[in-house]
Amino acid sequence: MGVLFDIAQQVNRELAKKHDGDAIGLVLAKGELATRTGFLVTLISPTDPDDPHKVHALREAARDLGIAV
Amino acid sequence: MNSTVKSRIAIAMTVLVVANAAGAAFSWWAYGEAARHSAEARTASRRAALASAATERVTAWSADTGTLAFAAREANRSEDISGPYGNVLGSELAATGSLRRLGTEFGEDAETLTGQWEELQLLTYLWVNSEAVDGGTDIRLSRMSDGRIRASAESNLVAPQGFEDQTASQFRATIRQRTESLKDGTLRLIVISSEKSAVEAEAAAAQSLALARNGTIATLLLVLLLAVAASIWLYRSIAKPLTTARIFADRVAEGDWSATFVNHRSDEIGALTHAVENMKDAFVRKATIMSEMAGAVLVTSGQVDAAAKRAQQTVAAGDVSPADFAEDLAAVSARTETLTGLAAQMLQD
Repeated sequence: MGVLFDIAQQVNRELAKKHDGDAIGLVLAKGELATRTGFLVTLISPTDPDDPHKVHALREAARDLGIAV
Repeated sequence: MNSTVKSRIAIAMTVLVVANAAGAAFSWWAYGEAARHSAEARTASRRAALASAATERVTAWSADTGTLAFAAREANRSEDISGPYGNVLGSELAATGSLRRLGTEFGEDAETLTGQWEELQLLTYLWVNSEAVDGGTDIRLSRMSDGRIRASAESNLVAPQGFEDQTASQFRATIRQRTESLKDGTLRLIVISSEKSAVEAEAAAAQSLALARNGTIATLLLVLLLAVAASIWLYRSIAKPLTTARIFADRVAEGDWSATFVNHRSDEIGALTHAVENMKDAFVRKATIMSEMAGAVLVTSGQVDAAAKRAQQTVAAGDVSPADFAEDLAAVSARTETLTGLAAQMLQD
């Protein structure tokens, strides 16, 4: 437990770094991530179970956005 | 100090009340001392005045008895001494009253005063009788049962031991010496000691009054100082943290979502800043979720818009393929479904 949360945190950090100073770009990137994964990444908490489908979907979506996790 | 705001206010109020009470108690005591010394001064002055009055009355009585003695020496009839006799009765009554008051009101040595006075009276009246004998008259002074003297043909006065055979001139000398002993000795000492006591008591009263006045001023200054110190203390522990909280709220309102409190006090103010910070964190989380949702809406609407334009172009070109059209519709439906799912997640949070 915690892997999904850690990946989500890492992706968020990378997105924030990638779109530093571009608030709209960051919003769109997060929206893209949500539509690709099918869930809102911000809602992931440290206590959420590590659902393999969610972990896979998140990795895939991140990779599509150019983020390696 | 890790005390609560309530206890800090209670401490400040208690300190002020205690300081006030202590100051009031000190002033009450000092003013009481001043009043006591003033009363002592008044009593001593009255005592000195009474002793002076007694001296004057003894002097007046002494003069009256001299007149009576010469009248008794020359009188042919008792009526001839009625005037001086009356004067002696009056002055004796006045002097006796003053001397008794000294004994009863001021606790003077009543026995000594009364003894001296009664001996002086007896010797004086014996001298009057002696003068009458020398003058060949038959007027003699006697003591009545009520203590007053009266003029009669015979005297019931008994000369003390050693004075049985005194001549008139010897009596005069003795009386002068005894009168001086009473006036310039006993009574004079009372006047001097009373005046000294009055002066000392007045000085003590003035000192107590000054002490009371200075104490009151010092108390006022102390209470003022404590009030200022308590205000500063309460300001530091209440107003300052509230100012910090206001600055924090202003930063959040200006969009600085990273704003935090450096530390939280362990009192009611700390609980408030904790609650404010928690509220900010919850608000930031909601805003972040909504932002992500807004992004998803924008992305999906862009994708739907793209699919709709492609369909329009296909229809306009007359190259309508039911399979492609169905594929576009399915893609739009899937994205809309995803968006609906995201909205449901957001609303459930």
